[in-house]
Amino acid sequence: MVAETGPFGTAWRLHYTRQNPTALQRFGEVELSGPVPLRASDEEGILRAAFRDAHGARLHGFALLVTLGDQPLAASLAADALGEGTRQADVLRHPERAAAWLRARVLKSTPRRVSRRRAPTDEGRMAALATIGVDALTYRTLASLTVEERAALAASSLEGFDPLDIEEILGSGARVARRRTSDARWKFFERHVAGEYAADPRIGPLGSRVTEIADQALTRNRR
Amino acid sequence: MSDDPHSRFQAWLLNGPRGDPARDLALHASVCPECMRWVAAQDALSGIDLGRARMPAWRPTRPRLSTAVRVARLVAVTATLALLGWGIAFGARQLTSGPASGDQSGQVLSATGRPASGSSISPSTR
Repeated sequence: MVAETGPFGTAWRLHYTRQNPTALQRFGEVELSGPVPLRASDEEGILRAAFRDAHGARLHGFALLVTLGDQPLAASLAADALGEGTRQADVLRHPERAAAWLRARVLKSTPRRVSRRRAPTDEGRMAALATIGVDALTYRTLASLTVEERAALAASSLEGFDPLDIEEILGSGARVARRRTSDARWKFFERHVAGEYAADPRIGPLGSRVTEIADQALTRNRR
Repeated sequence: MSDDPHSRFQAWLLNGPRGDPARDLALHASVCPECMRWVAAQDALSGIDLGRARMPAWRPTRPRLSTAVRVARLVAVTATLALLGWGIAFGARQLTSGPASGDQSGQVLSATGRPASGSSISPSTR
């Protein structure tokens, strides 16, 4: 943390590293966009702000995916979990355990049945999910999965949680968590592939890499 | 496990692909339309970035009070209520109960139906 003196007194720039126990990031480091206006003496406030900034956006993304793009519900679930988490920020110091704890709270509070009266339209859901990179076919595939399957898929394939954290998120034992995760992945692939038959498969990063490796192998064989 | 490159490639994808596929698997997948659809599904999945969601609205919550403070508050409230209840009960009793027996001061004498014992009749009424 670096203290900066500005026109309104001392503010703190929070910088998370792998060594910092309040850090979330397993995929890298996070630096806040600007100084956080907190009193230097307010250590508890700094910890809470750090907790919120480290977990907020990804937790909201997780909630969006699990609720299948129900924006108001996702925002509410994420805000509730985050509020509870920040109150316990001094206890939830291990970043990955904290992230799993937050997702478990979101999943626990997610209704299993969609209320038809207040549910957003398909277009609204797709638009909300498009902000995190979900395309139309992936949306339809995700819609065919249950809430638990979407959570298992997000936790394992998108966030790369450890099996222990996935157990915590799904609220189940090791064997059940492993089965749910592999079922979710299998269903996702099977249904996505079935949907892809309607159109030509789009070549993404992995598709390009596979083609590249195959081309290199063929070129080497020709020599 | 099957030696069939088709099954091996799909198993590699299902287990969460790490790094590059083996060369024989990549060779198979590049010419297998089914496998390329699986690759497209994996690419669609890895195209999702949960971190792109915006921060959820912050709901400020009051800091939770310590146990000692909560107990002290409970004791204070209970004591206040007990004192208030006692005060109300005491006041009500004072209002509803009559004076001590034998003390007839303040009573309307005519309501007794007879003159008070020991009182004399004034000569003018005889």
